[in-house]
Amino acid sequence: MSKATIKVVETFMPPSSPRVEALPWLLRGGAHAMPDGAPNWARALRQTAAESFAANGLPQPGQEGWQFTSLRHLEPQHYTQPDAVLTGNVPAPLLADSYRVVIVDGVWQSHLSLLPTGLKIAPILQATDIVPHAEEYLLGLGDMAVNPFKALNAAHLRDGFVLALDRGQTLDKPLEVLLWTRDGVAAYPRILYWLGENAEATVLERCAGEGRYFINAQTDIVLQQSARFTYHRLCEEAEKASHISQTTIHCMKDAHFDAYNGAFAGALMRQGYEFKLLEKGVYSSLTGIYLKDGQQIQDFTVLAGHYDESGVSAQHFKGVVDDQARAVFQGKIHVHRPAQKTDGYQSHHALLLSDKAEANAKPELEIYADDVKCSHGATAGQLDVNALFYLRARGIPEHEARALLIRSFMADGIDKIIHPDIRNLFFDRLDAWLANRGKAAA
Amino acid sequence: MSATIETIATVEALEGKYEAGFITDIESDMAPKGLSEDIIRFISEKKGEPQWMLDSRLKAYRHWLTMPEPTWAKVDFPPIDYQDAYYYAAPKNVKKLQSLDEVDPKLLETYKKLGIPLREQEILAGVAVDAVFDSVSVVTTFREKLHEAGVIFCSISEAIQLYPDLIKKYMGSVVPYTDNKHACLNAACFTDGTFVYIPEGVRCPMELSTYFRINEAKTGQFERTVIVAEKGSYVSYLEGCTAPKRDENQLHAAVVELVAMDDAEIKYSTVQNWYPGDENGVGGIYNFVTKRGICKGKRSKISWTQVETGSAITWKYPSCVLLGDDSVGEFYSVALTNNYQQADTGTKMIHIGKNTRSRIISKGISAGKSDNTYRGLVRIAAKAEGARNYTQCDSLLIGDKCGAHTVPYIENRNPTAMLEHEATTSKISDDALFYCRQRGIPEEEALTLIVNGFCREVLQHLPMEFAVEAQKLVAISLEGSVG
Repeated sequence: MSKATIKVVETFMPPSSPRVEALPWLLRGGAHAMPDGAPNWARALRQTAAESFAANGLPQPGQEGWQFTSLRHLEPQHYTQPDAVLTGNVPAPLLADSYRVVIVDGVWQSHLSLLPTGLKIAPILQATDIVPHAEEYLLGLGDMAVNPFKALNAAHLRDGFVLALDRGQTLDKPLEVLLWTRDGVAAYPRILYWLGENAEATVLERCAGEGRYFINAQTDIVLQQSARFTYHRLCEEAEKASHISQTTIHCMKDAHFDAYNGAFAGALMRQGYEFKLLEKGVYSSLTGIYLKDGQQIQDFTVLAGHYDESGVSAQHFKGVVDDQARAVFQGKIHVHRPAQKTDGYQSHHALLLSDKAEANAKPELEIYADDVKCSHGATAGQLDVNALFYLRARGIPEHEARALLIRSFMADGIDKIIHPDIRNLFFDRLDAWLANRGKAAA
Repeated sequence: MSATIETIATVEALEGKYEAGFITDIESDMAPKGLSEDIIRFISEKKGEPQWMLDSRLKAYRHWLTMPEPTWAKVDFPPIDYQDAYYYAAPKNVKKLQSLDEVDPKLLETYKKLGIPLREQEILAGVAVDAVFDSVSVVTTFREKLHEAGVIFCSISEAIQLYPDLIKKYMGSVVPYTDNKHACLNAACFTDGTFVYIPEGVRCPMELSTYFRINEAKTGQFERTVIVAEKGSYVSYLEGCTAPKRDENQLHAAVVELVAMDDAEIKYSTVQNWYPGDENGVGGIYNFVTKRGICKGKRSKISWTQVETGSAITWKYPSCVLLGDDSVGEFYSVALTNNYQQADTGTKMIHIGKNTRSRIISKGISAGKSDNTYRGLVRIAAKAEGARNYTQCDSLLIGDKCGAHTVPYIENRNPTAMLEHEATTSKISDDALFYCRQRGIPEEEALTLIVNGFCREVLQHLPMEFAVEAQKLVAISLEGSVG
């Protein structure tokens, strides 16, 4: 990465951003150009998305919503979109007893899937075959100008999968989805989970890969009345990887949604969640856990939109930032006028371990209904010196004492995970990180 | 008589009319409409300013032309036609006055309606008032007493003439003309304001206070206030504003700069009840104010207290730059909006020095169809070891057609810093209302009681006289928001 390149990136450019032209790989080989027999809705989407992205470019430095997150890491790379053919191996599943879906470089590998018979699953371009009006959700990306990465993903819409559970259907085992990305690749997977009335499922999505790559994932989750969905995302991207993802959750009456997002490693990680509590009585929660060091950037941007009465949205974030890493939390609870009796909560607690670490938070409330309870809390600070002293006084070496305190700080978040095997996976990542830190200290 | 009962009596006496809604007819000396380099030269000449001041105004004006309008606030209004306003209006009576008797009786009448007992103040309240009627200071009292203490308390125009070195040193040092478009406009065409200088080790013998009035139709008022507190000094400054009723929007872009040296303390209190527009959102003041203080010295302290009930649009972020080690910044705010009012207000606490502390208490109340936003920034610079911040912002919604928003930015670059932020939004508790109603308190009174309780934490930081006025204001502003 030459210094000159960085300089160019940081100068302010007008909206007709030449930065896009400076990054030809972003649109080169875009799916919109490919005659692959995609349905009309997909073609149209690619077209409008590509136009939107070309017009707006990447978010400018300092642009609201992106002011804390530098995209510098993306700049000098020339990523490609390889063919769908898989060569080489992918890692073994983490859960012993689970169903399995594998996506490599953004492309669904149906031959590696392990699924119960009769489960409705299809490539994303054939979503309308198994989910009526699926295109409604796939097209409804909102304002793509605000988040150009949505546009970028849509412009490259090619593969991914749609999973649909019928009314009352329950997945008896967790589904483990592996999103594996290889060196030098730009992957644009698109995923849709559609749960019918009273359907129930538990999913573990694991994002990983090798080398230096860029994954830009768009996930939509649709929960019909009283559906229950427990969603875990374990992001353990390669050290030099960039991960930018958007997840939109559409919740109907009395739906219940729990999400647990672990973010480990990865050079640049921006994870966007948008909750749409469209009908009455929806419960939604999101727990975010992150461990960052080196020069990593972690960005959680969450919007909880309450559109109807008696919805609950709770967001808890806990993270540790070391070295020169930077953590960003931008959360917003938006209570629309009809959404009376809303209960909204946000919290972000960051632990800073080094002089150069940075934590930025912007917990925002936008409220138009009067009978609501909304609150947020944010803290940032270092390890409690008194607690550290207590442990040291009892003969525990400093790095061990620190590890103990960090573990207990993080355990508070990880303990919320109900599925025991998945909870252990998160703890394993935490312990490995702490052990690594201890080694470096010694 | 308890404050609440008194409040209710006041409300009843007013019968829903804006107390300060009248226009005094006094001949004015006006510049033509619009803004240009010539108008700025006119203002500068009228004030008999030296060349360097004119140059600095013109520099600001030229920069202003190139600046974009700030659009990030959550307020909505049609674009301002800067050429459709007057930038200079002065009461005819500008000759030096020996006593209050020489003041135009009409002016005195105006003050009387506003409840400023100017005559009595000399004896009773012990408050020196530099009353600004439109743009030129007309009456200044207690000058001698302050002079004895070595305190400089005069209009900014006088200060430019008498203390050019101090003005050159401090004006624009906290809010440079390049800061934002509104502050830049002020730097170009400010017509008056106040200058306060407290010398080393002096505790200002009285609370200083300036009442502002916007009177001439369509006159933007551009006040410039500079307060400098030297080592170990203390000053408390009160600012209260009322404006006559009017149908067209008026622009107000004031700039306030505070500088506190080692061990100095500045307490700045504001009660703002400018005309908020009528029940349909017609008219009202645009209040675009840039207020900033810098704690330059060690152990210095700046405390902002504000009660914002007026103005159609409030755009105001009194801030503290905590540069000196162990310096303290405080911000206490009540913002109340009703009808179609919009308020986007908050603070910035920039921690640079070691062991700096800041405290933010913000109470937002929205009623009617109004929108009320708290927007704040707490930034801990990498070198601000041991910095500490506590933020609490609570919002109260009255009715289901208003909005309450909270937009805090928290940026931490130092691991030893401790940051806490809490925010809540809720409506008035039915239980509390029921409790009051059950004891025979009418609904509107009960509401006022509860809201005043909600704001108590902030109101108690106001000087006594202001606290009473602020409670009345809360009651008046809430009128018609129930039932």
